Amino acid sequence: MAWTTPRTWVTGETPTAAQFNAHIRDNLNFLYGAPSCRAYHNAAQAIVTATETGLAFNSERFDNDTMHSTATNTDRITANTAGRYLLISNGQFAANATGYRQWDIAISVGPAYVGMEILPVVSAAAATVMNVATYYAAAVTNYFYTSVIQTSGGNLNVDSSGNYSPEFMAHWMGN
Amino acid sequence: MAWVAQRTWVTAETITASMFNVMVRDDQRFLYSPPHARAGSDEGETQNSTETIASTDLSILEVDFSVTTEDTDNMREITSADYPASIPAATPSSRFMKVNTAGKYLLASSIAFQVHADMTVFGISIGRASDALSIARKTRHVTAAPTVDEIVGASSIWDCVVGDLFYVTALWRQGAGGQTSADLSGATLAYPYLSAQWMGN
Repeated sequence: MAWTTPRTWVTGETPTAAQFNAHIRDNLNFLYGAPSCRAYHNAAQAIVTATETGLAFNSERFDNDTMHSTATNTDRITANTAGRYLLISNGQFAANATGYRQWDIAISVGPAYVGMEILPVVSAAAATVMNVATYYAAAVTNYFYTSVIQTSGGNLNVDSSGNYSPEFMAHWMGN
Repeated sequence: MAWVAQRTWVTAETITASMFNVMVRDDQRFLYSPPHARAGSDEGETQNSTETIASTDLSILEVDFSVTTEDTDNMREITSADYPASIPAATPSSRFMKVNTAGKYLLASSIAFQVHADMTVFGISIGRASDALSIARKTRHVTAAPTVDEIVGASSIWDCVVGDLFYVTALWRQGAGGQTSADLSGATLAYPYLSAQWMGN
């Protein structure tokens, strides 16, 4: 359900049911159920060392604005409603003590990073879990994606671990 | 004030003040100030844990939030009757945030570790009590001799049902034979905190 620019009511006019439904019912329903999406991947993804790699998300927890597909371009959360979005991406690299880990949120326009985290690693006993949050404006058809880099020297998995890895989410916050 | 499902207006019907007050006034008020809550601790309050867990395991401490700074939907009014069967009745209710209005929530938390020399990794998890799974998690590696508190935070958007309970867990690992305990610092408003904000349905 799309937002309709609220009309200006005029003294003496007779409002119609159609006007009320569009400008009151539908607009309030839009705000009540603002576009929101959370996707995740249910299997480990191998990341080649020192190679920026986009993450796939083959499953969804919720998507009320057809922002994500579990079949095609599963890396993308697409803005079908223009506005400013809160974006969060969370995920875990398998345990490894070498190099650094980078977790990015990027937008298709540019392309450009809109959120990023870089961490050095020193412990081989613990996985590295990253959580990036950001806030960015998107036009219709712009899409966001998560890309990662690891410099362990070999392949390293982004683990699948419920309910935080990897997970990618977006919520419309306003226009 | 709860959301009331929007009615469909009908041609030729008589519109009453009551309809307007519910459908226009009250629902706009709900969206203008949706459910939200934030909890933290007293300034200088510390929480600590003594563990005897091997360095290969991950130590945990469930974080207590002794101070509620905002709560518009009784999200911090919790008793043991709200706990799922997996949570012991004696567990302090101050550890939890409860959802009373269904919808998508932004959940965020931050904690501060008094990192010690034996600590190799520390982190945070926001968990849901019903299945004890993390809905947000972050870890950091200790790369140098710690001289100040290290702060770590995480956030998440989760589709919540009424009755969902959320809590925060501090996570850490130490080197073989090292100190197993951990202390968390408290600074009012900054850390630790757990917040929840209704974002939409």
